[in-house]
Amino acid sequence: MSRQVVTIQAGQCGNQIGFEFWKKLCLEHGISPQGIAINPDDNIGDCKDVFFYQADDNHYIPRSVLVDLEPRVINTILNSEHERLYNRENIYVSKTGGGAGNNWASGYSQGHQLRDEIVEILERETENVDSLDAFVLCHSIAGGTGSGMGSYIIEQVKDRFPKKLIQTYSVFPNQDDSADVVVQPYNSMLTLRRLIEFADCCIVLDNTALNRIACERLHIQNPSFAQVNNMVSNIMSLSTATMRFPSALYTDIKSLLFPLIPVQSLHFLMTGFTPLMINDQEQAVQRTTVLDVMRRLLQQKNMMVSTNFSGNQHCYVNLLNIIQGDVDTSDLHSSLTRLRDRRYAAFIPWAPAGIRVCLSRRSPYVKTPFRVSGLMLANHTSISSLFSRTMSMYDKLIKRGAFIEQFRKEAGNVDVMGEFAAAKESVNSAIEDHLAATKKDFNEYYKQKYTSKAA
Amino acid sequence: MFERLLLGLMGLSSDLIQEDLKGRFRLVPEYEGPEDRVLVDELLLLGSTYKFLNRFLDEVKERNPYTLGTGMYLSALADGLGSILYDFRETLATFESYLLETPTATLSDLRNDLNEWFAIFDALQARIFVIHNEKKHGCHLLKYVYSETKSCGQETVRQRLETLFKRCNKVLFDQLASWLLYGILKDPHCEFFIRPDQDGFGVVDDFVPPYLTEHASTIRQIGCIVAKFYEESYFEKSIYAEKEDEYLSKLEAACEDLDMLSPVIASLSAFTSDYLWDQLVVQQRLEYHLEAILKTVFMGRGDLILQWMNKVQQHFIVPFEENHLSIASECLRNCFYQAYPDEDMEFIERIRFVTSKSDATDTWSLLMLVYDLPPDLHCLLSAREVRSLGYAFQMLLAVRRAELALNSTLGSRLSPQAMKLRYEMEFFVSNFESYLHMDVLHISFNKLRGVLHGSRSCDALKKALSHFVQDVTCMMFVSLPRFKETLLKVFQTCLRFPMYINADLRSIEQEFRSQQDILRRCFQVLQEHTTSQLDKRNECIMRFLYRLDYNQQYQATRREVKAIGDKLRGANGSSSSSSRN
Repeated sequence: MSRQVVTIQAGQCGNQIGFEFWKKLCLEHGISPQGIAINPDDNIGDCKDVFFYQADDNHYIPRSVLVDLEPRVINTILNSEHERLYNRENIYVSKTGGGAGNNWASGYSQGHQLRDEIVEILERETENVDSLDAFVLCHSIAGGTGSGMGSYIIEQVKDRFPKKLIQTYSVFPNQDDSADVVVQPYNSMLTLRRLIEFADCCIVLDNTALNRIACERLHIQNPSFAQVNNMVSNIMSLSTATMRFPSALYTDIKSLLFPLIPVQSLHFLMTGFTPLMINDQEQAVQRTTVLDVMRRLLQQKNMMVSTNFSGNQHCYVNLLNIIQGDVDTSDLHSSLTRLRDRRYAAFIPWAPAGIRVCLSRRSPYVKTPFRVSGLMLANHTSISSLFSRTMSMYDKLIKRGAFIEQFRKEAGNVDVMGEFAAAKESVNSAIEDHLAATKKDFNEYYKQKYTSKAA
Repeated sequence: MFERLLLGLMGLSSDLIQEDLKGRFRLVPEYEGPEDRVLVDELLLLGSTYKFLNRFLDEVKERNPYTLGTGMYLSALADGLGSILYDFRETLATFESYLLETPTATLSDLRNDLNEWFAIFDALQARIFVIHNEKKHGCHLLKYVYSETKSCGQETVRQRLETLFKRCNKVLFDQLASWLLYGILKDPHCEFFIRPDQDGFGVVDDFVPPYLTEHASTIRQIGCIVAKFYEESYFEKSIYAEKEDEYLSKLEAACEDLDMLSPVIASLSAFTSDYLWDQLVVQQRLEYHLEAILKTVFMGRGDLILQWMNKVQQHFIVPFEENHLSIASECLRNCFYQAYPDEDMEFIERIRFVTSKSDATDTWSLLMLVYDLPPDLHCLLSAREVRSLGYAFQMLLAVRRAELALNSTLGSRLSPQAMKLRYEMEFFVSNFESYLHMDVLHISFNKLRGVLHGSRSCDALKKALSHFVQDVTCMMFVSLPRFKETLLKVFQTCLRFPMYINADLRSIEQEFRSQQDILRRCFQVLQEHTTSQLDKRNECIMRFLYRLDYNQQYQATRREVKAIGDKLRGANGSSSSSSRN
C-alpha cells in the first residue's frame, strides 16, 4: 500500500486523455482490459494500488472518477473492450446529455447543480483510500465541461479536502486557429484562474505544441486526436512511473513534483519527452545515451508547450528529468557537468535550483526500441507567455463584448463580469510573478506582494 | 689392527684405539705396529664424527616423542642421517670383505675408499651441531636444511644434504597434502607453517620454506576453504570428490620435483575458489542478500519504507523503550508481507533493528537497521562490516524523515517566507537524498554487480565488498563524526519546520542557515585535503556540491548568511519581520 491518488476526468478531452492513460497503465502493469491481472504470478515489483484498487474478485479497478455532461466520449469508453474496467458508480454523465456547449459558465453552473451527486462520488471514492495524497484532474481548459465543470470540481475538492493536493493535467487549446471554439479565450481565462488559485501543481499540455511536434517531429500530416492523446498518455504514464514502479526515491507525488515549486504561484510545469514515439508508428531508432536524452530534453523543439524560451530572459525555475532505461549512473554526473558547462539551461537567480534526475524502472510488459528515454518536467518562467497569449485573445474578444450574453444566460447565479475581472486579475498576477521570477530581487517582490495581500 | 680400526671408524673403542679427552679416537701411544700413525689418526677422525652423529641419532630416537624439541621433521632428519651412516657402514663392510680377500690391502686403500666421507662427515657434523645447538625444529629445520643444500658446492656433500632435505620435505608434503586436500592440520608438534590463530588460520612467516613463499597465503586459503566444507559434509568426502586421487598423486610428484609445485597449487586454488564461489555466491545466493540489503537497509523499496514510517510513528512518540525495536521490525515485515505476499520473503526475516550508541532518547535517532547475512557469507562480508551499514540506514532515515516533515506542510497555507524556506530546505534535503541514492548507492552497487557477474574470484569479490562498505560509509559521510553530526542537525531542523509555519520563522531560519554555513565550511575543509586517500571523498563531495550549486546560488547565499545574522541581532525584539539580503 502506498500513497494513492484519485483521478478525475472531466469533459470530452479529459475523458479521452484519461482513457488513453488508463489503457497505458493497464498495459504497463499487465492488467487486461477487463481489469484482470494477466500474469498474476509475475513479481515485477510494481505498485498497482497507487492508481488501482482490487474488487472482491481481485480484479483491478481504476481509482478514477469520470464526469461528462454529454455521453459521446464516455459511451465510446463503455463500448470499448475496457467497458468493464471502470467502476460504473464512478461514471457520471449528465442525464440531460446536452453538454456544456463549449461554455464555461454552463459547465460551471451545471456542476453547481450536480454538486451533491459529484461530491458523493468523490467522497465514496476517497473513503476507501488509506493514505490519499492527491487528486489528479484531467481536463481541457478550452471547452465547456472540462473547463467549467473542472473549475467547479477543483473548488469543491479544495473545499472538502483542504489538506489534499490537487494536481492537474491541463490541456491548453490550439491557439493557432481559434476558430475551433470561439469563446475559448473566455473559457481558458476563467479556468486558468482556478488553476492559479486552487491547484497545487498543473502539468500543462499544449495542443499547439503537441500538434506541432506531431507534424514536424513525427511527420504526421494531420495528427488525429488519438495520436496526440497517445503522446499525452506517454507523458502521463512516465510522470507517474516512479510511483507505480517504486524504487528508493520519488515514490509519492509529493516528493516527485513539489520540489519543483518554490513558491505557490509558480506551479505550472511544462513537459518534454524524448525519444518521441507514437504507438505502432515505425520510425528510425536514434542512438540514446543519458547525455543525448538530457540534452534533447532541454531543447525547445521537444517541449510540449509552445513558448518562447529566449524572450524576456526567461529561465528555468527548476527542472526534473525522469530517465528510464539502461542507465549507467556514473554517466549522470558527467552529463550534468556537460550541460552546465555548455550553459544549456539558465536558472533563476534568486534561489538554488538545478537539474534533478530521477531514474525510473520500465514496465517489463512494454517493449521499446530505445535504450534510454526521458521525460522532463520543467518549471519555466516562459509558461507565462501562454497566459499572456490567452489574455490578449481574451482582451480582443471582451473589448467587443462578444458572446457575453451567451455566458450570462448559462451562468445562473454566477456574476459573469465579476468572474471575468477576477480571472483577469489572477492571470495578470501570475504573469507578473513569472516575469519577476527571472529577476534577482524576486524574493523581495514576492514577499511584499503576498504579505501585503494577506494583511 | 684393521679390525680395531674398522671398529674405531664405527665409533667403538678397543684396546688399541681409545678416546682422548676431547672425545677423539686415537691410536694408543703404546701401539708399535708398522702402520703410519698419522694416517690412522686421520682416519679415526671419521670415527669420532661417526660417533657424534650416531649419538645424535640415538638421542633423537630415544626422546619421548611428546616432549618439546622432537617432531616429525627432526625424526625425518634422523632417519635421513641414519641412512647416510648406513651407507658409510656399507663402505666399511665392502672394504672388510675386500680385506679378507686381499691380504695385501693397505691403509692407503682404506683411506682412498673413505676419501669422500671426510668432507661429508665434516659438513654433516657442522650442520647437526647447529641444528642441535639452535634447537631447530619443524619447517624452520627444513628451511635450514634446504638453504644449506642449495648453497653447498661440493657434489658428494650436496647429495647427502639432499637426502636429509628430501626426508624432511616428505614430512612437509605429507602435511601439505593433509591440509590442501582435507583441510586437516596434521601438526602435533607445531611444525607446519600454518597454525590456528584467533581468526582461524595464519601463516607463520619464519616457517615458510623459500620455495613456498609465494604460495603460502594461497595454501592457507585453500586449506581454509576445504576445512570449512569438509567439516560440513561430515567427512563423507572431500570437496574434490573424484579428483582427490589425481591431486594427491600430483602433490606426490611435486614433492619429488619442486618445479611442479606451482601448477598444482594454482590448479588447487582454482578448483577451491570455484567451489567456494559456487557455494557462497550461487548456493547461498549472495546476490539475493545484497539486493535485500539494498531493499531494506538502503531503503531501496522507498514506498514500503514510507509506509513503515507512517505506521510506527505512533509508537515512537514516547522516548525510546526496548520494545520499540521489535515493534519496528514487526511492522517493517508486515509492510513487505502485505505488499508482496508472493515474493520470496527469506530476506525480510533477516532484518533486525538495533540501537546505535548515542545520548539521544528518541527512538528515531537511535534506530539502525541491520541485515543478518547467512553465517557462511561472513567470510566475504564480515558481521562488523554489515553492521556498519546500519549507520548508513540511520542517515537515510534522517533524510527521509526530514523530507516527510517538509512534505507534510504541502497543502497548508504558507506565508511567502515559510514557502521559500520550505523550498530551500526541501532543495537541500532532496538533493542530499538523490546524492545518497544515485551518486553513492547506485554507483557503488553497480560496481559491485560488475564484480559479481564478472570474475568468479572470491578474493576479488571480497575486496569489492569491503570497498563497497568503505565507499558507502565514507561517501555518506557517516565515517566523519563531526560532519555527520552537522548533517543530522540540519535534518533535525527541517523536522521542526512544520511547528513553525504559523509562528515566528526567524529563529528556525537562522538556525538552518547557520547550519548550512557550517556545512559549507566543512566541505571547504574537506576539499582542501588533497591526500590520495581522501580523493574519493573529495570527488563525492564535489558531486554533492555540484548538485546543490547548479545555478551557483549555494555559494552566493553564503555571503547572505552573515548579513541575515547581523540583521537579526539588530532587529532583535522588534516585531517587524526580518528580511534577507
